[in-house]
Formats: sequence, C-alpha cells, structure tokens
Amino acid sequence: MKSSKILAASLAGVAALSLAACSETSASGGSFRAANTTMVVPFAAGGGSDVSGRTVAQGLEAATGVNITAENREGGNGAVGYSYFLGQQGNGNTLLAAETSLLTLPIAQDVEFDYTSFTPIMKLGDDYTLMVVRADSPYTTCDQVVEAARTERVVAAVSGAVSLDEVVFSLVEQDQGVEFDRVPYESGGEVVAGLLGEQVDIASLNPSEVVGQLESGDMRALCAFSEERYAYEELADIPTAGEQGINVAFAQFRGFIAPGGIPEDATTFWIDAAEDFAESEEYKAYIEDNYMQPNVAYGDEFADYLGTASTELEAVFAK
Amino acid sequence: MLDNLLLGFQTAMTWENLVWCLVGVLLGTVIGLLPGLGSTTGVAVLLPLTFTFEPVTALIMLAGIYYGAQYGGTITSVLIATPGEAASVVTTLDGYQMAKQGRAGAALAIAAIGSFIAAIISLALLMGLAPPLAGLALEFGPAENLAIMILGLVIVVSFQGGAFVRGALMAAAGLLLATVGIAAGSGEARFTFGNVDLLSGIPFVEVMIGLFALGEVFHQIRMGAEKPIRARFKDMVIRPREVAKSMPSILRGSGIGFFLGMLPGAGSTLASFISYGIERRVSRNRDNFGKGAIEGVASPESANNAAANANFVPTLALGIPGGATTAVLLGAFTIYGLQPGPLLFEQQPDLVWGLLVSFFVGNVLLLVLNLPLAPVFAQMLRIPYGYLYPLIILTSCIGAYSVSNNMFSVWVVLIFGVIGFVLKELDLPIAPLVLGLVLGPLFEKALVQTSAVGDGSLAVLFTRPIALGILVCAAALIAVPRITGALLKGRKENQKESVTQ
Amino acid sequence: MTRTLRNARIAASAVLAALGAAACVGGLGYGLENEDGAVGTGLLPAASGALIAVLALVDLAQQLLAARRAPASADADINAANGSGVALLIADGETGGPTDGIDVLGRTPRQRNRNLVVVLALVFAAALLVPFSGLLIAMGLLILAITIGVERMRPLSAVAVTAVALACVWLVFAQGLRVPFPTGMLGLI
Repeated sequence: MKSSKILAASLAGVAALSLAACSETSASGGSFRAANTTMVVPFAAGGGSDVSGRTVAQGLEAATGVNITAENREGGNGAVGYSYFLGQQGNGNTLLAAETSLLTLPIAQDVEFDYTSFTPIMKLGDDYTLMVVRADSPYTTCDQVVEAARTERVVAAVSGAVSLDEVVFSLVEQDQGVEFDRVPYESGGEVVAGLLGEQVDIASLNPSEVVGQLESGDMRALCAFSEERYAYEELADIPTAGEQGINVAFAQFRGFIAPGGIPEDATTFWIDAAEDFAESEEYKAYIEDNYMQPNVAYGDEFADYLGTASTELEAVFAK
Repeated sequence: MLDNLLLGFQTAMTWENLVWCLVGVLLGTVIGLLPGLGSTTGVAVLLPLTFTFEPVTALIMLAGIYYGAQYGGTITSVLIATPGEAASVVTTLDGYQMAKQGRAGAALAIAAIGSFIAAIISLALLMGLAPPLAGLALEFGPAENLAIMILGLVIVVSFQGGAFVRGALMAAAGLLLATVGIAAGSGEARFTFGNVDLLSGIPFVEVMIGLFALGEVFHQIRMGAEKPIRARFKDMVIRPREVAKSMPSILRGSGIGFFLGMLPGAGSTLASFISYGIERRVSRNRDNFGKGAIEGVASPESANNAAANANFVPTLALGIPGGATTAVLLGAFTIYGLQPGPLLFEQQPDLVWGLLVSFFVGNVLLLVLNLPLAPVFAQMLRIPYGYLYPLIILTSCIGAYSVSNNMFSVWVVLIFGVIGFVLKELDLPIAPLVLGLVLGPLFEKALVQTSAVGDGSLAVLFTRPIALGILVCAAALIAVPRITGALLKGRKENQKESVTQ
Repeated sequence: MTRTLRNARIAASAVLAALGAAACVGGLGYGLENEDGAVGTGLLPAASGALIAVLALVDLAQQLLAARRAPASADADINAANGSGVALLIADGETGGPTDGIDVLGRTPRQRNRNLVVVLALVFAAALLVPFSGLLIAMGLLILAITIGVERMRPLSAVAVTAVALACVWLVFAQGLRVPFPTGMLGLI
C-alpha cells in the first residue's frame, strides 16, 4: 500500500514535470501560459483557510481571467495538503492557501517539506490575537494576569500544541519568566466555550473569533498581542501588550504559495495577479470582515518574512 | 415571542426562501444517499453555491441540506445497511432487518414520521428556551463530557445482551484505532509509521463505508443469492397501529436527542446510540430489538433529528458550533458578513427566526416528500443482488475518494471492507467498534482536558455532581442486570429445590 | 464446519490479544503522563490496548471452555443468541441447511467462496490500477470484470450497466461536485 502511494506520488511528479516541460517548450519564448488552476486548501471547507483560499481564488480569477477552483485536501493539521503540494513540483497551475502551519508543521511533525520547498507568492495580511477573559474575571490588564501567574495557578486555553495561541503564551512566559497551566482545545470555538464555561481563566484568540462575545459583554479583551493598536473601531480601545510592559507581538499570516521549481515567468505572472487582487474591493472586504492587518508582501519579501518568522518559532518551541 | 414567530414566518414563507428550502432538502437527500457524503461534507461542498444569495436564504438552504442529508443517510442505512454518518449506524441494526423482511417502506416511513415529530418538539424547545439552555450546555465541561461518553460506551457494549465481553472488546478496539494520528493535547504523532495520511488518524467515514457497505457485500457474496424481496404493497406501507406503538420511543428519543444535541461535541452520534440502548431496555417490544423492531428505527432516528436541531442551541445562542455540520454553517455566517455570538438573536431577529421557522417548513416538506416516496425507494431492493453489489462497490470507492480527494480513503474503505467481512463472519459486533472510533478523539480530548483542569488529577470527575451522577448511572447499567439476574437465578433454584423437596 | 468457525474465533481472539498487548507496549513508549503530570500521549493507547488484551483472553477462555463442555453443537447456542445462527450455518456451507447450501442461482458454497476470493482480488487489483488508468476507468473495468466474470451477465448488458453507472458517477461527482478524480498515466477521465 505504501509503495503504491510512493509510486502514485512519483508518477504524479513525473506527469507534472512533463506538463511543465511541455508548457515551456510549446511557448518557445519561455513565457508561462496560465491554464485552469487549482487552489489547494489544506484544511476543511468552511474554516478560516478555506475562506481565504476561496477569496483569493475568486480575486485572482477576476485579475487574470484564468479559471481557478478551490480544492480541499485536509488532514494532519494541514500536513496532508502541503505534502500533496510538494508532489506538484514545477506545476505553475497549482496554488495553495497557506498560513502559519507552513512554518509550525516542519518544526513539530516529521514532514518532508519546509517553507523553502515552495515558491512564496503573496502574504495577504496578519491576524493577531487578543488576550480575553470572562466578564466576571478579576483581571483587567495583561500585566495583572502575569503578576497573578507568579504566585498562583492561572489556566490558559490553547487550541493546539503548535497553534498561534500556544506560541503567544509561550512568548509571554519567556518574556516575563512566568508559567501558565494549559488546557488543550482544538478550535477557537471550543476555547470560547471553555472560557465561558469557567474551565479556564484566560485565552488568546483572533478578534474575529471573539468580537461577538466582546460586543455582548460576555468577555473582555485585556490586551492585543500586536505592535500597534487596532484601527478597527470595535477594537481601538484595546491596549497592546507592549503598553502594559509585555514585549510580545505575534501574528498568524495568511497568504498563498506556488510549488517549488516553477518557471520564473510563472512566479512573475502570479505576483502581478496578486498585486491586482490587493487593489480590489474583495480584498479589502476580506481583511475587514476578519479584523486582519493588511500587511501584504510579495515574492522574495514574503520569503524573507517566512525566514524570520520560522526562526522565531523555532526559538519558541526549542525550549 | 409571538411577534418573533410571526416575523419568522414572514421571512421563511417568501417564495424565494420556500423554493430554496425545497432545493436544499432535495439536494441534501441526494447527498445523504451517496456513500461518504454526509451532512457535513454536503454543506461544505455546496457552500460556495450560496455565496451570491441573501444570507437568510443561503442559511435556509444550507440547513435544508443538513437535515435532508440525514434523511438520505437513513435510506441507505435501511436499504443496504450503509449508514451515511455515524449517527445512523444504529438505524442499520433494525432497519436493515426490516428491509430483509420486506418492510423497508415501513422502516423509512417511521423514520420520516419520527424525525418530523422530533423536529417539531425540539423546535419548540429551541424557540422558547435557546438562550437559557445554552447556558446549561456550558455547564458541561470536560469532566461531564467524559462521563457522558463513558455512559454511551457502556450502553453500546450492553447492546449485545449476553455478549458483553465481545461488545467491550470491539469498543476498546475502536478506541485504540482512534489513537492513530496526532494526539489530542501533546500534538505528537502516534502509530503513523511515517505516513503523512495517517497523521489525521483513521478516517471514520471511510471506515464506516468499508465496514458496513463492503463488509455486507462480501458477506452476501459468500451467503449466496436469495430471491429478490417481493414485498406486498400492504407490507410496504406503514400501519397506523405501528405509528401508535412507536410513539413512546419517538418521544423518548426526541428528549434524549435534544438534550445530548445541545452539548457541543459528539451529540448526535451519542444521542442515537444512547436512545437505542435505552429503548432496548425499556421498550415493550424489547425482545424483538435487533430482529427488525420498528421501535429500533423510530427511536434513534428521532433522537438523531432532535439532536441536529438542538445543535443550533449553542450555535445560534452563543456562536459556538454544536457539531461538525454547524461548525461549517458558522463558517458560512462570517462569509455572509454576519457576526455569530450572543447578540445574534437581538441583532438579526429576522434571520434567526426565519431560519428556525424554515426548519419547520423543511421538515414538513421532508415528511410530505418521503411518506409517498418510502415505498418507491424500497423498490430498489427488487434489483437482484448480482447487479446491485457491483454498483455498491463503485459508489463506495468513488464516494470515499471524494471525501478527501485522496486515494488513501479508497484504500481505507477496501481494507475495512475486508475487516468488516471478517467481523461479520466471526459474529463480532460492529456498532461498538464504530462508536469507539468516533468517540475516541473526543474521549481522549476530554480526558486530557479533565486532567489539565484538575492539575493532573482526574478527581474532578467525582467532585462535580453532574459528572458523578452520570457515572453512577453507567455503573448501575453494568451492575444491575447482573445482580437481578443472579437474584432471579437464585430464586428459581430455590423454587426448584422446594419442588423436589 | 462449526469446528472451523470455532477455531477461527479462537484464532481471532488470540490475534486480538496479541495486538492489544503490542499496542499497550507501544502506548507505554509514548509516555503515560506529560511533563505537568496530566494525561499523556500514551495513556489511551496503553489503556485500550491492555483492555483489548484482557477482554480477548477472557473471550478465548470462554470459547475454550465452551468447546470443552459441548464439543459438537455448542456453537448453535451462541449463534442463536446472536440472532444470526442461520446465516452462519449457510455461510459455513457444509452443515447442509435445508437446501444443502445451494442458493437460488444454483451456486454451491464452494463456488460462492471462490466468487468472494475473485471479487476481493479484482477490487484490490482495480485500486492498484488507479495510478495507471485513473480512478474512473479502473472502477469501470472492475464492474465489467465482476458482472461478466463473476455474475455471468451477457457482455452487452454488462457494458451497458457499466457505461450508465460510470456516466452517472461522472455527472454527479466530477461535474456536479467538482471532485478532481486522478486520471493516472492515461490522463483521460
């Protein structure tokens, strides 16, 4: 069974290579010709990655006129999708909706890829987290939480062993020399339920996951783990962690990548399309609906970001 | 309250919304009929179609797909013993037996009627009490969830009556299978042998297709062809007496289903298993369970549907998904620019009440469509098995592939097809295996969380009153039949002795 | 043949006991506790593995005891209790049910067992063919092989059934649901 999979993978690789070779030779000038394109989404339909993948697919379709379909290949916290994508080496007509698991999977799991295996195209933006507590919590600022953790047990919810909130809490611990107890959950929704159900004391969630609870007054945000305050009206009053003496800011990125080894003009083609997409109304609406920061980066710049973030993450998980 | 209901009717009864509700219900039924595609995949796959709709219309259609798919899954459970999702596994136990006796039409009809009644009951509860009930659901932390899963496993293990050891054996095997992949909590990979596809664990939809659909095909090939079932029309339709007889089971199923469905997690699956297990003990017709008892179809089907509706309690009242399908629906909310959360009832009353009333409309549509269609679907069994089973193999493999777009799924189906066949031949029960596999990850998560909340100790399980109460019930379920059995035996022997004396 | 069945069950229990023990050892290797003393990665595998091993041994003991107590007909009880005694008798074939195990198509148990082996081989062969022919073509060939080779349908109607079934699948899954089926080396559909 395993050997057949390897066979299948290598055959797919051969097919992809020959396809790429064909497209190169047929256009003798070496110009990449975009055809029907697949946007691989390494998570299940309906989740955050799916939404961003489909938004990008629609936006790029509008920018290029190429037919782009989203395809969910979920499993293993994204490992299955990225591994499939690794087999698409050289195929300029596949893209993948990437996020921070591109960096955390190689650190935490035994996978065959890291961020250098692929061609970064566009970083859509950053999604920071807020530290939130129940409305009846005694804490009103993040440094109070840290102080409390020095003397007593403070229980934090995390949504996975290599998730964004785990990263943020670890960074706080390293910055402040304290320790939080953790209760592991598997999604933002579960964390919200755990916090409201008084199972945990604090949580660190993306604004889009808690804005409803903040508005209703069931939860309070203590600080934002971002460099600057949010510009969004609903979130503008939330101080940054830095203002409260905690030197931690970390965001999850969202973006999209192409397989490694694609022709240079294919890279240029997608970066141009991405630049058009960033100008569109759809892009703006996507960023605003999800309370993200429109910190875009293309190509090499995106690759530099991935390098820095990867080093930072390695330091977090090395302890 | 009445104003809200009126507003709901005004929203749901527009022509546009009615039509899309019907489309959703029909598409859902078709999707549920396809192996591998249950309500979760159905909603997710068809989600992009609704991007251009008004939010309320889109949600009405998606909700229609949700409960339509559940009914479609029931049809295959009864006709070819292939459940569409974990929640309809128990329906196969008696539904398939009924089909073999030529009573598939009646089984499908009671499923439709039971689901309808359950939907109406749970809808009334949902409309009147969603916010306070959601607060109650939050009281169910990891300890309570752990306790209720233990109860579920105990009930399923005791399905088999005398074969307690074999049931427990299979449930434990299911739990063990569920440990393959990334562990809850630590995130370490377990038993994956370097295979990337195994990181996400052994996928239970594919396992179910293999165990039930292919396992049954292989079993039938070995058993040999029987004459195609020639049911008389009289047997195909349901008798009023049967509906009356099933009413207590339907009502009990609805209650259990609604309660368990409110709890975020494995609600629907547990609901159908637990309600079946309880019926098997309390129903007047309990001796016929497993041999084609109509109550054995009515009860899990009503529980399943009540749970599906109750799933919307935390979803609408708190913005916390009640199950896998409602999680996808919540994702859809953000796509339509809606903010799920506690304020949804106040900020979007037309949407919430329109959606709730559309559940009612959709269930009426399903009932009206399915009562006459039940005998028609049942005609499928007239196809000689020699023609039918190659098609079952085809749709099983194709359906499995489309779950994940991955050949790995097809291999899982084939391997578990062989395992299912072997288990059938050896008379090892399959239902506990499936429940173990479905509950495994949730069970482990609750276990890890309970011990994390208790700072390494599981004592919380015995100090929280609800959790303790549930555990006592589970213990009683194991102990009481044994004690009473021993007492009865003792009394009989006494009598015998007195007779001989 | 009930003897074979009983032996099969005993063997199955023994295999399960061994598997459970192996899983238990594997689970212990992952660690029962994490660094905070809470439930660790290995607890559930170790516990469920141990439970399987114990239960399988209990089952094994019960089987052996039953075998000793009633050497020939003990299985009838167990079968009847599980409600599928008839099925097993027919499946076992040699006991000679009411019709000597011959089904309505006149197939003997031996033929049916052979059919099963052929179908199993064909199904796995089809899955192995996928990287070369693609999924839909492999499945089409599988149905043809079963309907003609095992079920002895006339080739013409077998081809018709296959074509219609494939067309439906293609319409619903490939067109309707946009499932990207692997096309293999042929790259056709």
